[in-house]
Amino acid sequence: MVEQAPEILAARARESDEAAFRALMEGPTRTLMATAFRYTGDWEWARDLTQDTWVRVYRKLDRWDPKRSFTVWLYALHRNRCLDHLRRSWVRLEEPAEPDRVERLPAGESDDPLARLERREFRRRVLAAAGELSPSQREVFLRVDAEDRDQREVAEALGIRYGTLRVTQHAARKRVAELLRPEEGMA
Amino acid sequence: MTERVDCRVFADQLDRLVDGSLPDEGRRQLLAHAGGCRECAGQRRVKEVLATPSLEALEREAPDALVEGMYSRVMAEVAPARRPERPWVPLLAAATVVLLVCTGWLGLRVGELQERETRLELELDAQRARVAALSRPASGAAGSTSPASGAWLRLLALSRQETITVTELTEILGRVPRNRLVLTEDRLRLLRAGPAFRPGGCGRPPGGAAGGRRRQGRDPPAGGGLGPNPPEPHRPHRRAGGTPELNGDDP
Repeated sequence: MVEQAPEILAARARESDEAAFRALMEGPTRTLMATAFRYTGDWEWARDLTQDTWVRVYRKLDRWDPKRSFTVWLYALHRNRCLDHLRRSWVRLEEPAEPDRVERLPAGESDDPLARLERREFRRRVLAAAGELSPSQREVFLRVDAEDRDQREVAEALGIRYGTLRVTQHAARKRVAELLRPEEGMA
Repeated sequence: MTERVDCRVFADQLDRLVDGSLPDEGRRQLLAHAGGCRECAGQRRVKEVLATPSLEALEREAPDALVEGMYSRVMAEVAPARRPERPWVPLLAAATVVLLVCTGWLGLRVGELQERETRLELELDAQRARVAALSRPASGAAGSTSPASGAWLRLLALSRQETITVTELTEILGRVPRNRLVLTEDRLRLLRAGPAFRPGGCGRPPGGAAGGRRRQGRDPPAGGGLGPNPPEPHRPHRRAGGTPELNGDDP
């Protein structure tokens, strides 16, 4: 069976072709779930956020411009959905954590459940802080660092040069670090 | 890495530091710089906490059960939104079913009624044939009242009626031979007393009347009745053979 481009499937899905919509879902769903996991650190949340994204796609498909990339539009919807989820949990993130515990977070993965929990919490704070960035810095930071996408593909999707993306990425990381400035230096 | 590591170099090489692709010497120099620069150390922590697990690894690790049921869950959630597009479809389907059921029932009823109609028509034809037979003049003599004739049966039927119209009386008079008794005195009295006997009704009966008492000394009513008859001498009531007493008795 020949794989059809997402734009072709999306155009058919707009005409209430449910088979086309199902085929449209098959490709990106696993990637969307992985992306949502990078935002939330939890598979259940990742499933719910991915499902919510597809529901929004189904209901707002008439707003998609067929002249533009469906994948870019899809991931933009998904990113906003993940950020909305993070914003709702920012209240919890703003609660003062034990500074000692935060500062002693290990750099890599740990077998210690507590360490993993602390790492997950720090990760959520980092992503929440991305909301304080400028729009261009936020787009670069979330796509490259939060979603682990290829830098050159992101530059092309955003319509900027690779060099410009790198500079923007550096500025975004610096700003996030300032927002989460640890009291001590690197462990 | 030979150039001196500063914040610009550190930022440029940070990805390689975190993913482990730097040689040992370069890694050592960058870590040494981060040890003395809080801003670069903070950037390193941000990058490290987001680096793992990679997107590619997560795509492999995503639970199949959560991925595979995604379409069904999405469709279940959007189902209420799909209905308004064609709300008339289920209504049309239900109406079609009701129409088919009613049509089938009506078809059965029509069949039953048609069968009944056929039976009634056959029965009606049979009755008409009987009436026609009764009304047909008997063979051999017009108006024969022999016991086996239809006219006899007709007269017998009329004789048993409680009331009789002038038309029927006229018919009787037409069927019964002239020399036969038509009405007994009692019957005539009943007729004259009953509401069916209207002066001024039918005219003179065909073939004339025979037997029975007649009024005397009184002019016949104008316009009809049994018509003017010449006075006749009184004749005793007698029973003519073969002529039924039109008082209801059987011959």
